[in-house]
Parts: sequence; structure tokens; C-alpha cells
Amino acid sequence: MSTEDFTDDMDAIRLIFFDECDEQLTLLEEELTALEEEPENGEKINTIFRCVHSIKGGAAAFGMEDLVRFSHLFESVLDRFRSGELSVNAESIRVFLKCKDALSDIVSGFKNGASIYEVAPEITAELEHYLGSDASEPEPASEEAGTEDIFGMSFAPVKIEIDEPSEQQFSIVLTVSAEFYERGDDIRNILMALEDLGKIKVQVDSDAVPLLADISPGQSYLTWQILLTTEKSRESIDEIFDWCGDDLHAVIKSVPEEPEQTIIPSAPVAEEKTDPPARKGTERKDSATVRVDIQRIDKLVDLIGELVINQGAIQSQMRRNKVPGDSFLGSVVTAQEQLIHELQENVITMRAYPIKTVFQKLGRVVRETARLTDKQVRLVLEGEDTEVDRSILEKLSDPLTHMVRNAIDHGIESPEVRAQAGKDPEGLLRLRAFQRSGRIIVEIQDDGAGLDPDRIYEKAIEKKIIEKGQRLDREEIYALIFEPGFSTVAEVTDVSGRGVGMDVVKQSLQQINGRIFISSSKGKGTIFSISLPFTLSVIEGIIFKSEGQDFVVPINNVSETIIFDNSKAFHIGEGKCGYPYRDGYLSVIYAADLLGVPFDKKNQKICFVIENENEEKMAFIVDKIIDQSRFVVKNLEDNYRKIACFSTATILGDGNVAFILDVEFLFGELLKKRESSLEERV
Amino acid sequence: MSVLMLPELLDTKYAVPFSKLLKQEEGELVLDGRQVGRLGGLCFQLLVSAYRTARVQGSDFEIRNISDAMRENLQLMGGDFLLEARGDA
Repeated sequence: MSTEDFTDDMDAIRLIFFDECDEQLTLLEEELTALEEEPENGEKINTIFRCVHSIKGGAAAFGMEDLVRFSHLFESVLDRFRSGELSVNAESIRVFLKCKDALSDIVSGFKNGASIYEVAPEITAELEHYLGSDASEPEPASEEAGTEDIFGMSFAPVKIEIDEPSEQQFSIVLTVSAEFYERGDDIRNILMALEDLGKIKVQVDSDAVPLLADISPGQSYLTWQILLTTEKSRESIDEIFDWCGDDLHAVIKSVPEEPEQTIIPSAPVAEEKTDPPARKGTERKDSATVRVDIQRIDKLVDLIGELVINQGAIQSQMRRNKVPGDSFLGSVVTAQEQLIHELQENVITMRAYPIKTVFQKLGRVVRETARLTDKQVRLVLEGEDTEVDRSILEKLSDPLTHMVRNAIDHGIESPEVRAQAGKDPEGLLRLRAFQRSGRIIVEIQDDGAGLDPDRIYEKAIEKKIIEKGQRLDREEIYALIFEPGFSTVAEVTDVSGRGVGMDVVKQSLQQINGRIFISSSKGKGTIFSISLPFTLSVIEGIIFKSEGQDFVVPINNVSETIIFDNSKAFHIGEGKCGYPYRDGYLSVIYAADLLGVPFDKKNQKICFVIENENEEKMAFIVDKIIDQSRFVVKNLEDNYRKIACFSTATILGDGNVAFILDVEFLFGELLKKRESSLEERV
Repeated sequence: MSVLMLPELLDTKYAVPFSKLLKQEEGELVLDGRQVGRLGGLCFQLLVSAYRTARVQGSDFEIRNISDAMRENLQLMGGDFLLEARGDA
């Protein structure tokens, strides 16, 4: 391995460390939120401690002194809570959350290339407040005191008085793998952590270390035998190894009968492997995981997309050559299609993340917004494990944040108003995710004042969004809040009235093929229901022909398919047609019009009744339907350029490109036609 | 006799270059540890290997001017015998 290779490896390890920090910080946030609900739950505070400890361990290996310093301070405070010396309350959780933010900031700073990062002194002061005199008057460094020395800095030990503590001895045999060092850890950190627990006597077994000529500097050959004398419990030892995973092998034995004995058990480590110790809290999960670069997964998704296209090409050729479906070749190709389909679904699932990563951030948003608005809000999360494609999840955070802020700022009433209305002074905000009909549904429900349709209607007239006297049903009125510039709040608040309205929320959701629905009851509350696809990589659609060209319409936008009778179509204005549908009529758009070529309307045989997320309908007329299938989506802008009317494209089995209709755009065009028609009449 | 001056950080990142340096040394090995602020597991292992090599070859091994940090780290990892190695490895 050259020095350059090694540096590259270290950079890669550094990146892994930052990934792990992100995971630990997410878990930290999750556990802190849970701790609010169960302040007496000791396991939560243990997990929180371990998260901070893990970050500290990695940071020390990379020389990130400020991160080590702050996490050590945080860890010391948490230790006091963990030991029961201090009790968790709302104030301490507030401080912990601040510290978690500070940790995130420091990690982010180092990730972005900073070599030093100073934490705001008030945060440090708040932590030191919990340490009391131990923080302001650190004891002199001594082996007895167990002072930890990191980068020349002495940290005061946290002295925990437990009733009549009794010393115990443990023999610990440690071996580590090369991967242990590769992921940025060091045996030094482990031994320092053990030293923190009490007195240690260390013997190193160097028999396996090769001579210099044969040694590989990245391999680990040493075995450490440690005798630890401590007042701490076995669990405290286990916690040190919790975050080491399989890269460290520890055999821990209590030595209760021989307190004065300093002999380290001489049994070879290999023999102990057959008798693994039952370590509470260090058991590995059955479902082992492998960390994979997301770009590799994305590449895999792309490649399987190509495989699907090739499969389509084979089937296309079989049809052309009239190969019977029940022939040997036909059955093999059908079986292969099924396998590819399963493969595709599995790979797409690999890119799925639980929605809890977004929900957890919203917990903070709820707390902060409630504080700023002087409201009491109880957040209930449901379906946090519902999985969504990463690309969708990334774009879901902002609109959800805005909606949650809105729900608290504009929906949930103040405690006084709620009490007067006979409601619980504490408002309820429920975030719920679940799967329905192959789509992901995310609901934001509040038990607040509900939407006032009269007020929305008046405001829409005032804002010139609609005309006075315009007839709208309740759902259409609710949908007005998604119009640009709409706001029923007279004053711009610090929380949600920042000039960014629900129109931006709607646009953001449209970008990920999301749809939003509102149901509301005055005085009882509102539910915003967001419907999202599971993935943006594949689309279920109907392929059709128009003037010899293939197109795809997303199946979600097709409410009905009927035979089109051109004789029943009627003109409603310049170049505009209507078509009878049930008790009314639909505006008509001919697919061939999108191509801008002359065509014979008599050849148009099929009418798709397509609808947008507002459930508006139109008649979309085509020549003929070819098939219904799943299509691998290709980004037009990445591969060609943006084309009006079409959101994306797909490659068919015969190699031809079929554009996928942008239904929302079509409705927008229809609306423009309506408006221009209105202007013409005026 | 040449003295190999050890750097401040004998961490994982330094293990590969340190290994190369040690392998280049022939015969008596004298290291100066005055600058060492941190000694990690992999570099400690290399010191152990160098010590064992010297013993096998019958040559001298010595770490001079050991800094407090290096001493603490060596003791922490059970490397007291390296502190005592004085030309008679």
C-alpha cells in the first residue's frame, strides 16, 4: 500500500466516520425526543450516552479536538443523569437538544474542512452548570482520579457517589481486527475508556507480531490482557464495546473470588471464542448491515432499468418474429421478465429510507414553533418505519416542515382559546405515514380551529385569485390556499408567514409526483393528506399512439378510458372542444395537438378521462391504446432538454423513445386557454 | 548511528510510512520520542515488531527522550518493556 493509497483510504474512512456521526446524531435526536415522553427511562439516557461516546471515540482518532472536547463534556453531564445523580426534566432535555445541535454543527464544520470549531460559550456553560464544582474545580490529574487526557487536555473526572460502592475485578482479553483501525478507531481509545472506569493493569501478548520484514502495517497482531479493578458495573464495561461492532473481540470475566489476584487468565483467546460471553447490551442484531455508497445503488437502479429496457426489446423481437408465448423461448423470457421485475423491486427497496428520518426533524420544528407561538402541542408520530425512496424523502422535508409550522401557527389555537371552546389546552398534531394502493400517504392532522371556507373565499376575492360570485365547492375553496400569494393571516409571523406559502409546498410536492388533499371541519381540525409514489425510477402507465408516435400517460392520472365518438364533440370556442361525460361535459385536448402536426379527428378513437391532483378532469383523445406496463423513467433534462407537456421519457423495447405526459402541465395549458377565451369574450 | 526522530502523531495514518522507515533501518535502531504527543495501536505494534526484530538480530533497540505522552501511551498499551529497552534488546 503506498502512502497515497493510504491517504485515500483515510479520507474514505473519514467520510465513513461522518456518515456514522450522522447516524448517531439521528439516533440521538430520536432518543432525546423519546426521553421527553419517558424521562424515567434509564435505557434512553444510556443510548444517548453511547451516541455521544461513539462520536467522541471517532473524533479522537481523527484528531478533531474541539469535537472530542465538547462531546466529552456532554458525556460527563450525561453520566450524571445516567447514574441517577441528576434527574431528567424538560429543562435538561432542552439543554441536551441544544448540545445535540452543537454536536451537529461541529461535525458539519469538520466535514466541511474546518480544523477548529468553537462551541458557543453559553452552551458549554449550561453543561458545566450540571457538573457543578467538578467542572469549575477540576481535580489534579492522577491515576487515582482516572483523569482522561486527550490531546494534552485534562478533563475532570465525574465523581459519582453510590451507596457503599464495592470494587470488583474483571479480566478482559481484547483482540481487534484491521477493520477496527480502518474505520478510524484505536485500541488506545478503548484502553483509555477502561482506565476511566477504574484501575487497569495491561499486558500485551506480542507473540503473533511478525518481524519488521514481514509485518503488514495495517494488520493487527496484538492481544491485550487487562485486569480492571472498578466500582462500576459490568454494563459499564459492555458499553465501551457497544460501538465497536464485530471489529473488536472482547472476552470479559468477573474475578470475584480473587480480588488481590493480578494474574491475567492465560487461556488463549481462540479457545474463548467457543464460549462467547452473554453480554447484555452488546448483542449484535441478527440482521447485519453493509454500508454501501448511495451512488452505487443509484447506478444499480440505472443498470436494472437498462435491463428492463433490453427485456422489452427481446419481447418486441419475439412478437415481430411471431415466437409463440408458450414456446420454450417464450416461457424462459417470461420467467426472466419476472426475475428482472423482482430484482428491480428489491434494488429500489435498497434505496428506501424510513420516513422517521424526516419525522424526527419535525419533532424539533414542533417544539420550537410551539414555543414561539406560546402554544401547547403534543406530537404523535405513527408509521415512522414506512419506507420511501431516498430521492423523494430528500424533497419531502421542506414542505412537511412548512405544513407543520402552519398547522401550529394557524391551525392549533392558543391554550386559552382552546379551553374556552371546551378543548384540551394542549393541541394535538399527528403525523402519520402508511401505504395505500401502492402509494405512500403522509397525513398531517391537527385538532385546531379547522379551515374557514367563508374566510378563504373572501380572501381569495380580495387577493384577486377568484372573481366575486364565482361558484366553488368546499374542496375547491380549500384548494385556494395553494394559490400563490394566498394567506389568511393579517400579520406576517416569525413562524410561518414568511412569504413562502402553501403554493411552494404544492410545487415541491408536484416535483416528486406528490398530490395533496385537504379535509377539514370547522372547530375540529384539519387533515392534510399527501400522496406520494414509492419511487421516481419506475412509473406505471398506459402506452398509446397518436399520429404514429408513442406516448405514456401515468396510470395514476387516468380515471377512465372510453371509446371516443367524434360526432359527439362540440365546439365551445376558438379551437376548443367539449365532450359529453356523464351529466356534464369535459374539455377536450387532442394528443396530436401536442405534436403540432395536422391530423384527422375522425382517426381519434380513444378518450382517456384524465384528472389532476385537484380531481379536475379532461378528455384526452388518442389514436389507440397499445399496452399497460411499468416504464423505467429517464430524465429528459439530463438526457436532452426540457420539453413542454412531457415530464420525463422512457425507452421502449424496440428502442424508440416514448414521452411521458406531464398531466399537471396539460391542465395548466387548459386553464390558460379558458382564461384567454374569457378575455376574448370580454 | 542514526537517530530516527519520531513525529508528534504516531497514529493510524502514520503506520504505513512509519513501517517503511523502520524497514529501511539496518542494525542498531535508536528512536527519539521527545515530540510524540500520541501513540496509536498500529504504531505501537510496529515498535513492538522493531523491538522483536532487534532481539532476533542481536542488535540494539532504544527509545530515547521519551515524552510524557508517549510514556503514558506505552504504559497504557502494556508496552513498559519498550521503556526499559536500552541498547540490549
